[in-house]
Amino acid sequence: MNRRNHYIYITAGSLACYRELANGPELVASIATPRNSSRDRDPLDQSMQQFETHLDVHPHDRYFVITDTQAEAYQSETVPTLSRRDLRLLLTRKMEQRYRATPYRSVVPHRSRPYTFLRNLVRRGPRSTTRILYALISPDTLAPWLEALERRALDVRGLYSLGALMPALRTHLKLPEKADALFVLRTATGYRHAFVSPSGLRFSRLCPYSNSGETQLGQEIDKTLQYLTMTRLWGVQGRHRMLHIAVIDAQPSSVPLTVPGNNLRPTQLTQVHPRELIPGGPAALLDDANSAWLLFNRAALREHGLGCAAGLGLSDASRRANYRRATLGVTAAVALLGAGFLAVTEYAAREKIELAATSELIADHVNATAEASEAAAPKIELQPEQLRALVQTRDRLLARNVSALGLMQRTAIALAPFPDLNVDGLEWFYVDPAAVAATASAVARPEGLPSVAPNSLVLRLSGHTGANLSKSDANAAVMQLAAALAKELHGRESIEKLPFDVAPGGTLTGTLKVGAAATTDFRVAVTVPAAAEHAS
Amino acid sequence: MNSSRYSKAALRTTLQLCTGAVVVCALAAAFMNQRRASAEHRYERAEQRIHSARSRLERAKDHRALIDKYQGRYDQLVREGLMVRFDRAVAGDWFEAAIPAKQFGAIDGYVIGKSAPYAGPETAELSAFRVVAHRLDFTAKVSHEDEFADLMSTLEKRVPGITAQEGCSLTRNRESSTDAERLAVSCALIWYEFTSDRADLAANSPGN
Repeated sequence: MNRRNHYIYITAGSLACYRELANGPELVASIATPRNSSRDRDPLDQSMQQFETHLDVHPHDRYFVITDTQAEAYQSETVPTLSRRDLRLLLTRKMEQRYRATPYRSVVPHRSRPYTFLRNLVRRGPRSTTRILYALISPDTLAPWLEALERRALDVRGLYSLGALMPALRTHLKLPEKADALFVLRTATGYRHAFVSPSGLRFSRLCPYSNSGETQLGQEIDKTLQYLTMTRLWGVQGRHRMLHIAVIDAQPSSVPLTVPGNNLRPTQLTQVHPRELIPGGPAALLDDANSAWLLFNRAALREHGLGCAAGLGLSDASRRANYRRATLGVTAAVALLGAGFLAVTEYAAREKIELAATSELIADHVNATAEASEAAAPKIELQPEQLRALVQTRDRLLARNVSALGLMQRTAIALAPFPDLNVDGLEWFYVDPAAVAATASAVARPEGLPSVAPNSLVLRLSGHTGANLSKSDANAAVMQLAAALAKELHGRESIEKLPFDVAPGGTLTGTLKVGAAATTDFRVAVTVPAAAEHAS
Repeated sequence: MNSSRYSKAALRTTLQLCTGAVVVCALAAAFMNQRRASAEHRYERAEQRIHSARSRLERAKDHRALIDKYQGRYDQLVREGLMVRFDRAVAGDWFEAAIPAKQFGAIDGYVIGKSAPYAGPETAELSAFRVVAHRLDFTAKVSHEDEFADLMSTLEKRVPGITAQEGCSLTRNRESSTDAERLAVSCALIWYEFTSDRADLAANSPGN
C-alpha cells in the first residue's frame, strides 16, 4: 500500500488530479467537466466514469479537494465579543440564515482556532470584529465528484476553498502584517481575487475569462477596488492603509498593468511568477494555469483545517476538533509521562537488578568464606560458647578459693603493732548464696554479723587483752587492730565486742581483788568484698 | 467525507486509539512497576543473604577465636579431671591420700556432705553442664599456725579435681597440756563437679 497526498483541483470547466510523488506533485488526471451538469448528462457521465476509474487506481491516497468555482459565496458579518457558546450559536444562526439551502454552509473561513483568534483580537483592543462567512451556495457543481469520493469511503482530508486559502500568500510574499493586500491569482477558470486585511480574509471572488483580452486583468482589479470602497472595506475615512496588490500569473500579459489610484488610495503593485514562490518546483506544473503555489503550500492547508468540515455543523466540527486536540494532547502527555515513568522505572529496575546480582555474588563469596572458615575450625565436642563458659566458670569458682597462708600472713602483719592483744580464735568464710550457705553448718555465721553481699569474705578474729593494759588503752588497741586489719585486707571493719563495754546502755563491772581479773575478750570482723578479695 | 478528521467516526476512532494508548501505557507502567518491585525484592533478599552470610562468617571467626583461646585450657582441664564423675568414696581416698604422713594423725575426722546444685552467678553462661557442689568438712588439731598453713597448702596442691577452700576456723586451746594440740582447726573444702546428667543430680539432691 503506497499512501500519497492526492490533490483534486475542481474548477468550473475541469477537474485536475495531482499526486505527490518523490520529486513533487505531478498531474495524473485531467478531466473536462460540463458547464451545466443537469443539461449535459452524457458528458457528465463520461467524466464521472473517468474520475471513478482514476479513484479506483489510488484507493489508499489522502485526498485534498480544492474548489475554485463561482459557487462559493462570501458574506461579511460583524461578530461581537461573545462567550464561546454564544459565539458558536450566533455563527450557526447566521450561517443558517444566509446559506439555508446549501449542504456545505458550515464551511467558514475561520482560522483553525477561531475562538483563540477572536480572543486575541479582543485582547488587542477592538470589542468586535468583522468576519467573513462563506459557503458553497451552488453545490450541484461539486456534488457528483464529492459523492464519488464518499461512495468509496476514501480518506478525504479536507474540502478547501481557494479564496479561503489565499491569505497564506501574505507570508510567502513577506507583506507587512498591518497592511491590506489584494491577491490576484490566475487559474484555469479565470482570476481569483482575495482581499485580506490584518484581521483576515474579507472578500473573494472569481472573475472568469472574458473577451476583453489582456486588458481584463486591470479592469477586474479596478472593479474590485470600487467594490471594496463601496462596501467601506478599503479606501474610506480611517482606512487609508497601503494596499499591496500582488498579481500571481504564470502567463503574464504583455500589456503593462496599471492600477488607478490617488492620494487617498495608495497602492503598490507587484507581479509574481509562481516559480518565484516555489523555486525548486517542476516547470511544467509552475507554468500550468492552476495554482501551482497551492500544491506546494501544505501550511495553507493546515491553517485552514476547519475547511475540511464540509457537511458538518460549525459547532460540531469545532467541538470535535477541540476534543480531538485535547484527546491527542492528553494522550501525548500520558504517553510522555508513561514513557518517562517507564524509562525511570526501567533504569531503577536495572540498577536494582545489577545491585542484586552484585549482592548475590558478595553473599555467595562470604558464604563460601564462612564455610571454609567453619571447615577449617578444629572439631570439638562442645559449642565454642560453652567451651568458653566452662573454662570461665571453672576459673570463677576457683577464684573463691581462700588462700589460708595469705590471710594469716596479712593478719599477722596487722597484729604486729599490738603485742598486748592475744588472739584466741581466727575464722574466715564466704557469705554464700542461699543454696551453699544452707549446708555451711560447720562454719556457721554468728549472730550480729552485718549484712554483706554474697561471695564476700568475712574474717573474724577473737582474743583477749593483756593484763598490763588499762581499760581505755585496751579498747583503743582493739579499735586500732580492726582498722589495721581492714586496711591490710582492703575490707570494712566491724567491732563486734570491745574488751570493756562503752555503749550507753551497757554496764562495766570491776573488782579490785587480786587474782580476779575482769573479762577482757574482744571480737572484730572484717568484710572483704568479692572484687577486692579477688584483687588481693 | 466520512473519513474527515472531524467526523463522529473519526473522533470515535481517535478516542478509541487514545484510550488504547492510555491502557497500553497503564499496562506497561504496571508491568514495569511489577518488574521494579521484583528487582527491589530480589535486592532486599540479596542484602539479607549478605547480612546472614556476614553473620555466619563473624560467628565462624568468633568460634575459631574461642576455640583457639580455650581449647588448650579445656583439654588441660579435662586431663586434670574436670569431667570426672564425683564419687564420695573416691573423694575420701583423694582426701586421705593428700594428707602428709607426718600430719596424718592431726586430722580428727571428716564428713563429705550431700551433693548440692550450685547456682551462683559464676554459672550463668554455662548451659551445657550443671555444677554440683560437694562439701567436705574436716577437723584437726595442730601445734601452731605454720603447721596449719602447711596442711592447707598441701591439701590445695594434692587434692585432685576442682576444689576450693570455703572457710576455716582456728581456735587456740590455752588449757592444752601439750603444744602439739594447741590449735583446733575446722575447715571446709568444696569439690565442684561439672555434669550434664540431671537424673544423677536429682538422685543426690538434698533430702534423698
